[in-house]
Amino acid sequence: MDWEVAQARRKKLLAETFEALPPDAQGVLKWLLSEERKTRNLRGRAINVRRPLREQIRAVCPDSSPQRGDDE
Amino acid sequence: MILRRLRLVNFRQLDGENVIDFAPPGAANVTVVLGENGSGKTTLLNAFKWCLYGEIDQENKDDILSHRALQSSDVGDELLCVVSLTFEHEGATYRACRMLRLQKNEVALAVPRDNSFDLTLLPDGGEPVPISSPRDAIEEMLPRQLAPFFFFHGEAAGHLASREGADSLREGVSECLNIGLLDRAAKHLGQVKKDLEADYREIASGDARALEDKISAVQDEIEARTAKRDEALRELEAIERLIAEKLRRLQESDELQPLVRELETSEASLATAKRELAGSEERLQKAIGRNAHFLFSRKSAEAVLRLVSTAYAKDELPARIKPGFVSELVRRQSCICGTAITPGSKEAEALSEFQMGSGLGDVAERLQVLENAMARVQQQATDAGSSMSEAREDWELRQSEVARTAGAISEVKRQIGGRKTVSTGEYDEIRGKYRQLEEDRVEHRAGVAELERIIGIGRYEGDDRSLNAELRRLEKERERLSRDNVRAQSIARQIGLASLLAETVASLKTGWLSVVQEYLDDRIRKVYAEVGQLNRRISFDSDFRLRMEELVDGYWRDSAPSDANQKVLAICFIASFIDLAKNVAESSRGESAPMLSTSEYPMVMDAPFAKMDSHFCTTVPRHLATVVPQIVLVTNYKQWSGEVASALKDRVGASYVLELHSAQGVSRSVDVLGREAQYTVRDERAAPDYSVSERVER
Repeated sequence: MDWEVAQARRKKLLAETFEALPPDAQGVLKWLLSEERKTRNLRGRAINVRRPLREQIRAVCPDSSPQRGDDE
Repeated sequence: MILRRLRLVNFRQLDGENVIDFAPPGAANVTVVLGENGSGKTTLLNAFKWCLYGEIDQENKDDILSHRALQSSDVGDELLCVVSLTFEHEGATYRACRMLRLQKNEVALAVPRDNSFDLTLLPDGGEPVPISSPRDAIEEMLPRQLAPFFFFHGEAAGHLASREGADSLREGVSECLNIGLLDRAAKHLGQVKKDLEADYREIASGDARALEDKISAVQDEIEARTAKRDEALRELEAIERLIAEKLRRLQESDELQPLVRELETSEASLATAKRELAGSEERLQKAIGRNAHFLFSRKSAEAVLRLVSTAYAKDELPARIKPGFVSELVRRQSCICGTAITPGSKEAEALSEFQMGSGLGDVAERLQVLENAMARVQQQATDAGSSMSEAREDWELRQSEVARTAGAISEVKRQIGGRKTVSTGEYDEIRGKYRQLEEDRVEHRAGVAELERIIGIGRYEGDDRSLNAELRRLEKERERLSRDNVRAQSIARQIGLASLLAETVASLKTGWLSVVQEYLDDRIRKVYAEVGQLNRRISFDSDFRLRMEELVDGYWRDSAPSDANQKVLAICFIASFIDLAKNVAESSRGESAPMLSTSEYPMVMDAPFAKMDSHFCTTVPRHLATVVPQIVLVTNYKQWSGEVASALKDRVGASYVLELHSAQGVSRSVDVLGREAQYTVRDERAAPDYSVSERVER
């Protein structure tokens, strides 16, 4: 397999995986990957992505949000 | 990361300042550093690791300063040990510099005072710019975990191709692809999901609480089954290891079998020949005894016969006439010539005297008997002599047969060398165990597959009957049950989102690793086809293991590679890995949310061609120089001369010799690509205590 083929498959995988998510979930995933990338260089140090991640998730599904899914 | 210059000051046995300028990528991309054992070849490899990561692979990790520098300094003197590496990375030039400042104390020890590490950007024509977080920057450019793939000792490289090496390969590839990013994301999503579930449990009631219990039960079941599956995988791994070991022994035995059979035959022949020699020796001893006996008898007989003959010659004995014959003449009164023997005649008196007078006629007869006996003794003596000669010839023949067979055995043993042989009985036993293990493997694999089906992981993840599918159903149910409670519903949705994102991240990781594994599988096969050129099938399987198969009775069977082949496989992997890193680096440029962070890397090898035969010593270096952007080969003269030097002669862009020094000197020279390079060992009897590098101009 040439690298171009591997690269095309990777891009397809990435695109398909993201497309399978609802748009707001895509945003959370992009944000999370970008945060995790920042921490690459901080190997071994205390990192707290947990709280902001929960905030991100809460922003997509707010506590007071109207019902979705079954009502739609 | 492309290497430009390594500068060492008083680092280990490399005394004073030593500078090595590396050959850049291109047609002559190989830098050769030649040195005798103890001249600092491994030190050079250590210098890279110490400079970049502050680590060193040696027994005495604190013994970094040159002993000579310490000895030639005074108490209180400040001493410096420096390694600086200039390199290019992503189009910019940097210099990494690690410096250890020491001071000599009263008991002649170097006490560390200060240890610094700096990374400086060196813009073209501009002022050097210090990088603020040098360790992090280096970790970004060449992660510590990847360094062993690019700076490695040849003796240890073969480990990568072993079953145990698979974990290192997976970690290396994961690091190269920055899979850790996805692992961290999955971990954080898992933590958040747990927090949310705890929150939900607090506000849930009635059916929702019962559902939470169900969810917990399913999660516990998944955890328990996963632990069981992991245990089964470990057992499977142990079985695989045993299979590989048995297979290796069987293959070694197969290779040795003709020699073993020859040895067994020769040893049986030797035993027979020795038995026959012992019999022959016994016969010879008897023949010698018999011959000695007859030698004496013959001499006695000869003496007797000589005595009789002399007596006859002197007329001391009467003529040899038989008394019966004389009696007949007397009775017939006639001689055989017709003359009448009348009684009273002179002839009759003579005969009468013969008959009666002295009785010597009887003596003559007895003498005749004695003569005959002596003749027989002589004949027996002659026969005994011949028998002894024959026995001696036979003995000599058998002795030479014993010597020939013993020689043949020595030759076979030499061919077998230190390899372990097994008897036919042991061989059958190993084969039996091997078959049993193969059956166990099938059983264990089926067990693992069944557990994975039940859990719903891997290729069973879409199975509706799996625990994971059940969990997903229950989680959806949770959202449905929360309909009347806005807050509960919201948390349920948040849990659902965290689950979905965790699944997505897992799927990204599996998919990406699988694509790269397939790419590497194909790449390694191609590289091995170039460098190995043997009828073997190579693969890099989904377990990240380097495998080698060979044709046995028309079927491809797992092969246990020899040490040399393992090393070649590992080098093929590293070459493919360098290629992957370069491609990944190029592909990740300009990506908005890149998961990748690598670069172009060199291959710095210490003694990679030890134990390789002339075939690999030709094909491996020749091909590597074409697929790897930059090679630094650190080796001794023995491994360098011959095939490796011929294979690389047009690719060497820089060469160095490490000179050994001690108290008194002996000059030597070495041929480096047709040019004679001088180096000095100051006293052959004394252990060399330091060395320096010398550039060899072509």
